[in-house]
Amino acid sequence: MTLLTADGISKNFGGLKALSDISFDVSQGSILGLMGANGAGKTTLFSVIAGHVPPSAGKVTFKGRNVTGLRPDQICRVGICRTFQIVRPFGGLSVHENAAVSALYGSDRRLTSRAADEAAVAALDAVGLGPARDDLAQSLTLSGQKRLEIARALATGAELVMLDEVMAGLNPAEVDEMIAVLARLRDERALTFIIVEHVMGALMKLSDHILVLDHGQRIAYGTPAEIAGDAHVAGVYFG
Amino acid sequence: MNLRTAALLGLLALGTALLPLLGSPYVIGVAFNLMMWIALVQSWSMLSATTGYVSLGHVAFVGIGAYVFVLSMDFLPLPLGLGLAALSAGFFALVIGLPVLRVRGPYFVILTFGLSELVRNIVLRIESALGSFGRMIFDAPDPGVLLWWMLALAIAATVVAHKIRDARLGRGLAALREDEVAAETVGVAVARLKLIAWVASAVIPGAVGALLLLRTGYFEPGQAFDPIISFSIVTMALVGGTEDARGPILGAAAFVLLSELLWSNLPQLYMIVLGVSLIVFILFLPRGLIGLFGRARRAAR
Amino acid sequence: MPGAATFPKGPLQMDIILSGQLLFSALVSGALYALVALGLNLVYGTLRLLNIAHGELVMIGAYTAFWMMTLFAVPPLISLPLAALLCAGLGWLLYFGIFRRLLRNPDLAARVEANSLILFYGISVILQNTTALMFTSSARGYAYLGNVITVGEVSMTGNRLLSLGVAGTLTIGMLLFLRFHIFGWSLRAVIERKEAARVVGVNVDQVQVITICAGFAVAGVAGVLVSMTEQITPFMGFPFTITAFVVIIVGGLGNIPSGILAGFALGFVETYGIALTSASYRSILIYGLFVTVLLIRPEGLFSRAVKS
Repeated sequence: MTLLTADGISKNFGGLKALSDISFDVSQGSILGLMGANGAGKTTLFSVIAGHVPPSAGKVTFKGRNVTGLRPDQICRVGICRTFQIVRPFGGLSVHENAAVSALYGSDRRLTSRAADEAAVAALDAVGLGPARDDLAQSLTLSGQKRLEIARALATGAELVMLDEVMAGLNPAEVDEMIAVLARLRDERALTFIIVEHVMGALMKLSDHILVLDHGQRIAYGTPAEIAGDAHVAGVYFG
Repeated sequence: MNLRTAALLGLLALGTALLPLLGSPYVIGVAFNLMMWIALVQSWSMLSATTGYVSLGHVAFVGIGAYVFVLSMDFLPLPLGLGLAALSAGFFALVIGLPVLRVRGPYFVILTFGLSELVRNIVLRIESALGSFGRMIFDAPDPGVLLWWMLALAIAATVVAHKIRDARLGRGLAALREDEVAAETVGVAVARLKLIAWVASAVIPGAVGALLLLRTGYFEPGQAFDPIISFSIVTMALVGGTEDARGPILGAAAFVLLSELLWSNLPQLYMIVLGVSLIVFILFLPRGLIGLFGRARRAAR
Repeated sequence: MPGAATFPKGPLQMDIILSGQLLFSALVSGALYALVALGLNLVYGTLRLLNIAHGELVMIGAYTAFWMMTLFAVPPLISLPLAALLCAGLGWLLYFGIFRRLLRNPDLAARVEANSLILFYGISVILQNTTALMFTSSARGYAYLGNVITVGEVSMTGNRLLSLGVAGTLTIGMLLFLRFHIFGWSLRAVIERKEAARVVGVNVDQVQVITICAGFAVAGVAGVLVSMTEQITPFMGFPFTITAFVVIIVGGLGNIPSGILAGFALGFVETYGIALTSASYRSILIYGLFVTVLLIRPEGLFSRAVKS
């Protein structure tokens, strides 16, 4: 079942065409990888879907509902949650509170304080941060803080999680750990992901489909195997 | 806040309530000041301690409350007049809130200051256009009655400041204080929450302004909107500590005590001590007196 | 207010608006505002400190000139370097005593602007009240160069002409310095990209100390100039602080050339604004401008401000 549809998304910043007529679908329970050089428009696309920036044209539909131009907090309550390339934890709050406040505000139902705490515990356990519950978020390692961002997204009850370069800055062991976490979340909870990733190995391993952007335009879409074999993509990427 | 603290505060409130029956005019006056500063600092903390948006212009709400009250005094009984004063301050906050809260960090701090001065000058201009250079108040209620009202405001402000922190609203504010962008991403309606905190922090100061007006007996724009009040609020909050609702009480008490010791003889010395305290506390005791006691208690274990 | 002349009350008169007299007033005001704001901007640009005690430095300069004149018959021209030295010394003391501590503490430095505002407020209160304790709050004043010089239809008093001369020279001098002198370049580097400046070998700490002293000194100089025409009290500094903040906000925090331009602009807006309305609107004009700029474009009106 299609969870998210992007239809003709364009975004201009003054004279700069950051995105031109981007369209794609994401099915529930799948992982879509976004690939492209810096400046290709990946972050802009994220921002448009997440509500930080309105598109100049086009429509975003989520579970049959038009969510174009909603505020970021509204997008979250609809069921889409994004993480950040440069982590943004609520540093002075505890790890638990990071997740709890996400549960408290992120769902479209008003949770009681106790229900929020329970959701927080579950979310933290799912990413392996249970033991660190009482620590201050700013005291976590980078890998921990990245997992915290995912936990926050889980706590909001999001069905679509958008990960912006979640592997950046992680060492190979941590990358493998993260891949395992994400795969498990997709398989066990039928979560849907859109991931932006420069770590090619991770991108290829995780994605069910890959969308390739270049200079704001869609130049390829397919399974990892198809993309890997695509001469045009190789040409754009490797010159 | 544990049971012991609550009991202590309850006792303090009871004692204050009895003063109009037992105490001398001087003591009533000191108690009035203490209650006033507690009400003001607790209200301020509803915005500035929770969201991190430090307001240096809170006297604007006090002055607006006073002005509305003095204009409506002849037509409204005291409780209604107080209510109108509070509502006016809140309404003013509501109207300017959205654009003002979009401004961040130090810009917000100086903006609030500039706004307060702008309002002061506008009121000054209006008053001079009306031919008034100060308005005398006649038939003000008995100081004991004013103390009871101010006590009520101090209690209300303390209760709200305390409850807000653990409530849903308070947790959302704490999150947006850490990172507004991230908070929005997890569903916190940042602009709306900030506005709520901002308006909430304005309402009680409006009523305080009306009571203060009755106590001093005249309205003069320069005094009603005196920026020293804004700075005193911030100083007391800093010295007392902003982590929970006990800090403002400590901070207010410390400075009311200091002012009683120094003001009549050496007002300049009082101000110098205020200035030095500010510096010392920001640099060495950022968590205020509450933080200091907390540390001492932990060290004693 | 410095440079403000008085005009007969009456309907708007075109010949007054277009007169050289008004132009002269605007220039004198503008130059003084630009000078006072320059000091504030220097300190903010390099150290990110919001000196809300800046007006008190002007006050110190004014008292210096007053006592020099009254006790020793030393003219303001000589007091200029004296006030500069005194204020620079104060800057040096405050930097090593207080602000280095602020900048070195990571928790405090994270919100350095807001914390410095409050710290400087404490300093301002201390300076005002110490001065009041020492000299009482009575207004002081002295006469110097009050003779009127007439050029064409413009009547100028010697002291205001001197103010214009000194303030104008200093501000233009600073612009040239930033553009052409190697220390000026180091200064600009520290303002724009502190860490990068450090990497290419600029002695950032030295630049910072020199700049805070220079910024304070400039305010002291402005105080001497102002003392020739204004009343001197311990609490006279506050309006100068406000106008300086208005100027640097409008020009963009830390942007020195833009701030100088904004200073002159404010002098013009104020002088002509008052001529068109009345002196009682002055404060509303200034604060209104202040608030509007902050609401619409906190980074300033004139150009790209320095990122904090």
